[in-house]
Amino acid sequence: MTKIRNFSIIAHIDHGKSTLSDRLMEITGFKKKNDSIEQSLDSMQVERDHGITVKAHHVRIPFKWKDEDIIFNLIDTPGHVDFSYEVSRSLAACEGAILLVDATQGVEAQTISHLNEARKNNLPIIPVLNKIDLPAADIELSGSEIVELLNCNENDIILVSAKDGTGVDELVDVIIKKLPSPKINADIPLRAMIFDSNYNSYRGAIPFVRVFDGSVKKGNKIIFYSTGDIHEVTEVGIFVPEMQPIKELRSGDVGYIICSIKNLEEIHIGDTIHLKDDKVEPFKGYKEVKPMVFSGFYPSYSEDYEKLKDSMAKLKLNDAAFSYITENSQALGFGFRCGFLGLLHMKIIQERLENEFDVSIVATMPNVIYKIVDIKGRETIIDNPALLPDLSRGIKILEPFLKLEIFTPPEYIGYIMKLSQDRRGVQKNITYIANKRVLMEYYIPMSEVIFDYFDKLKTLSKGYASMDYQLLEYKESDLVRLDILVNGIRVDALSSIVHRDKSFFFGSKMARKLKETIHRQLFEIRIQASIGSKVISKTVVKALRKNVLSKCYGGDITRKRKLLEKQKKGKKRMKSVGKVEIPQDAFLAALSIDDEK
Amino acid sequence: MNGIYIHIPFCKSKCNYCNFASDNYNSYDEYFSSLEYEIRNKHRFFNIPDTIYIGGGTPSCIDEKFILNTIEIISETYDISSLKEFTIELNPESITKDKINHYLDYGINRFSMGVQSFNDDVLKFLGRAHNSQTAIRAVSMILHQSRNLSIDIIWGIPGYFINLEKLSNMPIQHISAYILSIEEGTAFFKQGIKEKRGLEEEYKYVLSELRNNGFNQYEISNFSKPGYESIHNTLYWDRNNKYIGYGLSASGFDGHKRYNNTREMDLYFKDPLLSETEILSEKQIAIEDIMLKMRCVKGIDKSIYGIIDKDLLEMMISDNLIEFSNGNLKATNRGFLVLNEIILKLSDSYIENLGI
Repeated sequence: MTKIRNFSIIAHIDHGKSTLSDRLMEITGFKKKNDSIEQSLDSMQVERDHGITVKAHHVRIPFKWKDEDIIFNLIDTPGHVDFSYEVSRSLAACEGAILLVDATQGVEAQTISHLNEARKNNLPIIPVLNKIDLPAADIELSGSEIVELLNCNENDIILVSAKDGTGVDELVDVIIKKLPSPKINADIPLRAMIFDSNYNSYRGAIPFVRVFDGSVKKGNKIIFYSTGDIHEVTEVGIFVPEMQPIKELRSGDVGYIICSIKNLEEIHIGDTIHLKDDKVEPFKGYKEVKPMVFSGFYPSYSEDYEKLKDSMAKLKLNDAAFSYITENSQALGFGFRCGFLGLLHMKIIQERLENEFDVSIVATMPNVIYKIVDIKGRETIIDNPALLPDLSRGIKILEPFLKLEIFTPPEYIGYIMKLSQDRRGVQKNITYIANKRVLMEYYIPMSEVIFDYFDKLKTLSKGYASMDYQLLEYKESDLVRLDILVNGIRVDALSSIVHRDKSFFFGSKMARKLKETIHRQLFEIRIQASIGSKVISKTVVKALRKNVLSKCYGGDITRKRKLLEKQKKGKKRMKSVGKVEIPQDAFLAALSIDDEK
Repeated sequence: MNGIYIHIPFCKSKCNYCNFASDNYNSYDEYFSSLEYEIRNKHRFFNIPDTIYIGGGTPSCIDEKFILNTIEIISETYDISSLKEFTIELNPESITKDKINHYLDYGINRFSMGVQSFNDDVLKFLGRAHNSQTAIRAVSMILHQSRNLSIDIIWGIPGYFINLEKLSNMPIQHISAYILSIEEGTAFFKQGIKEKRGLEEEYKYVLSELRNNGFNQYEISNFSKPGYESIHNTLYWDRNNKYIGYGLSASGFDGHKRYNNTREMDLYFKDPLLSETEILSEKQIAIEDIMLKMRCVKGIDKSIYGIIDKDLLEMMISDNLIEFSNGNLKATNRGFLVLNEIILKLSDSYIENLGI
């Protein structure tokens, strides 16, 4: 009887997840040394740049171990806070998890949040300390953190070096011994959970599933519970890690189902698949993934609009969480309002557009989704600050609040408190772990976190603090729309929604920042920050004093024309509002506003 | 109109604002034999020049036999019987009565002298080899022998405000007044000297002093007594004219294409016919045409400004950057100081509306 173990590795970025996966495949004889999963799996440019896994990659490892037939289904999880829902679904597909902690770094915030997800799913957890071969490894300290977190014994922690293979044998033993086999319910109707998906230009959108009950094979007619869509299965298979067809996916298996779905949007992570004509109970925990952060994406050169449109359509095929609709800005022309899971997701899409598709874009300041509720209780969603109406009496504006968890060495507590207070955060909890780490919990508006909170946190803690967040609720706030006017014309792409208490400070900083960014032009430029009709800050970019070349005879003409052409090219990237040319940097001016007053 | 330009890339010393590669050339023989080769062998797209201009560098700083010999070669190659203007550039410290007489004997009828300033401190700052006294003496020496003298002056020098009082005693015919530009590759640039800010007052002063002394502005940097506009320089600014340039870095234009000779002395010696030809797109022609015409006081005529957005013109007129004058559209004095920006805006609109 083959023993199946379905599990995930929970780890912070760079704590060695990919290396451990490589080593597991090697030690089981599944892959030869140096035949790195890391190389084959962390394939996207952005994944390498950010050192994170954007799309999860999974692998089935069949092997013989001490005379037993074993199958490991290693289910990968995306490595960033923006993708926490996907992480929770991946964990829901498992019977256990490895908690992998870098012995030189200790536990990080993200590890804790993933661990909490695993606990919600009642998964047994195997604690592992990695990188014990490094001189900087502090096994005692990192170990005590784990003991406290898991409430386990020190002896339960397995010490490994994924790099040189130390301890990995023991780990395989423990996985087989400690993690349960999947419950096999072979004879009842099919019930499979979608935990991930992928898009292939030849085969369409493909759901990755964990089969809990029954089985599925080619020719079956299946239904997606959330949409009711019916599809005929054309292939089922497993990950080796490439997709390999097999005859049937059975209860306990992890694999993929191909059923000619054109669009990734039709597949919902967490959804339940069952056979047509059967009635089943759907899996709990299914949520529709909704974008949390929005930004306007515009082509730097207006003639690139079609190219941008095509590129976004192609990206969307691979990434159902990314959404966009056309938008027209007076300042930026034709473009798109795009929705993302979080700020990192936004950065990834932006970089992919620029690197893979070679379109240069202007991205406006990211914003969260606001809700306005009128007297009769009717709700309107606002995903673009410029579209926030003037709030008359009785109309409420709601913004999203997060539960923000920060994990830090105690010496940075003071700075973090200050930063979080400046960002309207309310401290909810503070817990010492092993006396060397502190878990701080904040109730904080999402809009205050999405810009640069993470960068600031990293800077003030010298890189030691880590964070994670979850959306809690929408709550009323005293928010106002801050507009920027250039020579009296409102620049729609520069509007923002800010808290009234911060509006004066923010408005004057914006005006000053814009003054630095907008170059002198033929005319004097008045920059005003205003709330409604009230101007709260103003500044002036004086008219250009000199831009002329004295001499222009025979030999100079070519040179001068080239110089003009160069200046003209520079201007092509500018966006004009009225007669004022605004450089693209200006649209991100707000991102670089400091908290210092 | 057809013009010939001959470039003499030699100077006694290099000025702080000059970015031309003119150091350490003492290879006069080699240069002039290359120049002769070029004149005799280069394709000519006209045979009867209206103007000749010998510029530099400093043509007067070298033994005049080289210059006179070159003029002879030109007269053997071209029919120079209808020359209207024949200019040579001079420096105050390098001229003598005899030199001027020789030049006159060979048909030169206009002199352009690099005076730059009448203030000794400024001259020192600029790195010029002469002082104001030398300059004044040189001016009167030439005026004794010729009635057609132009001088160059530079204004907009950081730390100074130009003084043109001395002009009233000088019956010269033409002035080129340039704003100091600090360009890459110059000594000023290396020293980190920045261009002067706030030029309006000084420009106003320059304009009024020149006007009071009887000079009319006909181009952004050029002023003359009536009838003494430089014919040669003016022909550069109208794309209907042709010119042939000889020597290092010289340019020529046959009405369609422009060529630019190499700027490297070694390459020029190896092949005096080495040049790059540029073929301009319609867009580039439009930019160039508007650029050259807007630099002139005459401006652009209706066939051009009629195509430019009216809103844009009105905005610029209301901001006192451009104005209508004699049916043409021209830059105002304020506009001249930011002419590049104006040209860019006008040519953008022109190109867009013309759909080229």
